[in-house]
Amino acid sequence: MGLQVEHINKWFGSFQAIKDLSMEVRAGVIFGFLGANGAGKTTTMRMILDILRPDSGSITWNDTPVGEVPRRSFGYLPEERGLYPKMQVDEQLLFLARLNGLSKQDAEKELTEWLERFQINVNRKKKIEELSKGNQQKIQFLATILHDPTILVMDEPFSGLDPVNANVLKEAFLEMHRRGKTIIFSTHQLEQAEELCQDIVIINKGQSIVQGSVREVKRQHGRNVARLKLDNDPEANWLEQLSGVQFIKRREDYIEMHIQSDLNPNVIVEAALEHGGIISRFELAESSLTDIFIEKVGAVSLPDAPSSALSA
Amino acid sequence: MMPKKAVVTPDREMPSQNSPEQGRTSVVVSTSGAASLHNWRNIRLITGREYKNRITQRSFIIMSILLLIIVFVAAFVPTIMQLVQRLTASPGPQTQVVVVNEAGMIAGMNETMLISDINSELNGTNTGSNAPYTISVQSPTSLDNLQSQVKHGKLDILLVLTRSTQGNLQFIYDTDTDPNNDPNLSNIQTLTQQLNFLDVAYRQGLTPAQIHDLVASPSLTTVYSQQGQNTRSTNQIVAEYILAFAGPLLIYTCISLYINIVASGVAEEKSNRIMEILVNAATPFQLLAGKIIGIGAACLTQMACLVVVGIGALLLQAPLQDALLGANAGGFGQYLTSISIPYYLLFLICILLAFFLYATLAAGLSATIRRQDEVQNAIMLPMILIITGWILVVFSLSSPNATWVKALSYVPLWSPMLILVRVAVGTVAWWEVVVSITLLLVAILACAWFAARLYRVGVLMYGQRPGLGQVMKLAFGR
Repeated sequence: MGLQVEHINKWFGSFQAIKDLSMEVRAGVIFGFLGANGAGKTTTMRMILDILRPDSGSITWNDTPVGEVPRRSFGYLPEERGLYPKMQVDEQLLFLARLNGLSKQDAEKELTEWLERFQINVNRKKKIEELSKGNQQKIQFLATILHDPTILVMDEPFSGLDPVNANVLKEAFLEMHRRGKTIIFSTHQLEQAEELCQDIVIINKGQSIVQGSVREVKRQHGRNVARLKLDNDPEANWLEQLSGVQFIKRREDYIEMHIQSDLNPNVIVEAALEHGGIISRFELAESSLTDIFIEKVGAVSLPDAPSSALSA
Repeated sequence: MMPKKAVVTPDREMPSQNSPEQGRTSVVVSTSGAASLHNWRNIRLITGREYKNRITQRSFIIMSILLLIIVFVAAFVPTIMQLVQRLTASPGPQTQVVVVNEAGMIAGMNETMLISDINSELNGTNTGSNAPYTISVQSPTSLDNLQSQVKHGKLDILLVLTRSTQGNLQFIYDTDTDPNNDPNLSNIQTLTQQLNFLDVAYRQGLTPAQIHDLVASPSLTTVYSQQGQNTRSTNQIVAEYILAFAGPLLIYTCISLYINIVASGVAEEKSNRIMEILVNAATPFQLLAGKIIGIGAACLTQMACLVVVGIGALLLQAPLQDALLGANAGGFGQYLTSISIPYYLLFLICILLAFFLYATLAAGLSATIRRQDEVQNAIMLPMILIITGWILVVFSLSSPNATWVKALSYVPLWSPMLILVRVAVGTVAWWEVVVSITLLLVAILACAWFAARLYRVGVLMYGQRPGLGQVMKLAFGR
């Protein structure tokens, strides 16, 4: 059950934005939708919302095609924010909530509750254009969730927020999660995905590259990050000659590298000793999603295909 | 819908919340059949928002106030013009005419009779200060002096009468008026012809009594055989032409003004990106209908204010004219009341339907543009169509019963204007009006369907400039 995306394809003219994409979003999870710019995230989200339709393949929610699912079960936060700039905050939110099927009384009750939670009750009677960007973002978020949708589809909800506001939004995410909502969101900030999501998919050029729960994805990649610090040889230029060591990054205080899963980490220690190095730090760590993302997307990246705004 | 195996996934995070959620969702799905019930609710909500937003918008309020002032002032213009005319005309400068007779006796009249004849010829029945001309006779000795007076603008007209060697009358008309715009020339010509006629007749030997009989007007009785023409008062005919002109003019003005508002409203929503949220909550048709009805209602409010103020100001004119001019010079009220109520009802229907047709077209087209500043491109087509309609109206006024007017009064784009012309000044059967309005309604529905498709397509084409072919493909496809 949940959301099933099966073998969808989408063409825009001669440009294939989505190639045979399948994924599953279990009901009630927070699902991270990761990918570079132009990977097809927004297109896929629009297809989930039945704004666009795939050329082939199917998208269902609990076995019902998404086109037949009542609109009010979806809450959509588009990537490009949009509200009526000259309307008052409360009028605007009440209008959208009622348009999504709430009665006037229910809408007002929900609105008051959420404005309190977001600490923006003082802005209730202000026009949207008079608010700061962070507060506009919060209003946009409220516009998405006020009608109590079952599925939240959010395109880059964290972009443009300062850490404090990002934290408020994160709390709201967890609150919606506690209420049993299914949340699909796209992001570039992989730390956030790692922190919030149970499941993720990474797509590139319209294709799924990695998917599964965050734990599984990480486990599959093993403990393949090594950090090394040599007191007498901070550059350790001999590392480049070792086979099975990739993506060597020299940080301020240590060197970070990816090691292939079949490589015994001891090889690195032996090589260091061989070169007369004094090891003051050597550790193995799980790859972060960022590492996996860069490794996967970087590896399959082809020269940029002519990208269209639609595929963004 | 694809048949699907249930995918069982261990849900480590939250097994307990999962099942109630599914139960609830299935209930929601079962209500999807009632979607059409939300149709009116949503349209009402969108209409309400649009209306409130529009009438509280500063530019709309300013435009309304300006229009109100214009209408109010315009209603006073005829009265003010009459007043100005009265003030300038009554003590108005009379044209001085000096006659110098070197021709001896003319038509057997002495000098007094000659002056009274010239006077009645130039001034008609006007006497005293109302007469446009003052006439005097001076002797030929002062001729040089009089000519220099004309040259220096001290005398308006000098008329010198002489005789040729054959004894025929000759006239010299001396004036300082602008040769391109001489208001007196035709009067003087008539006068000289008259004098010449009298003189020739006299010299042929007719007595003054015979001459009088010769120039007297015969009795003329007029009988119009064409029915209807003579049953209508002049007021009614004037009123019909005013309405045949004013009705379509009002439609043309309102539509070219209001489709701009509709188009920029759509473009605004699109450039705000709020459309992306709205299409998730409401169908394109609901959005389109709500937008057009909302703006239409706001425009109707504005028009109602204008009409109330306009009629109020016009009704003020009668007492005002009584007070200022002493007499009520007809007034506009009698034109308004001498035409039948059905015309006004038909006008109301026509302007509403025309608004819906053109607004739908403009809304659909402006959904395909990217930015606010492309609005003018989007409404180019409806603007050209409405201007064409107005030109057709102007030509049809002179021949309201021509075949081309009849044919075009069924074409939905122009029928709201042309059917009004035909009803006001032409002949039209009631069923022709019904057919025309029905076709218009059908066209509105077709247009709404097409615009709703464009609306849906347009939302998704951010950042793309669609060609016409692409738009058509997307609109008619799927």
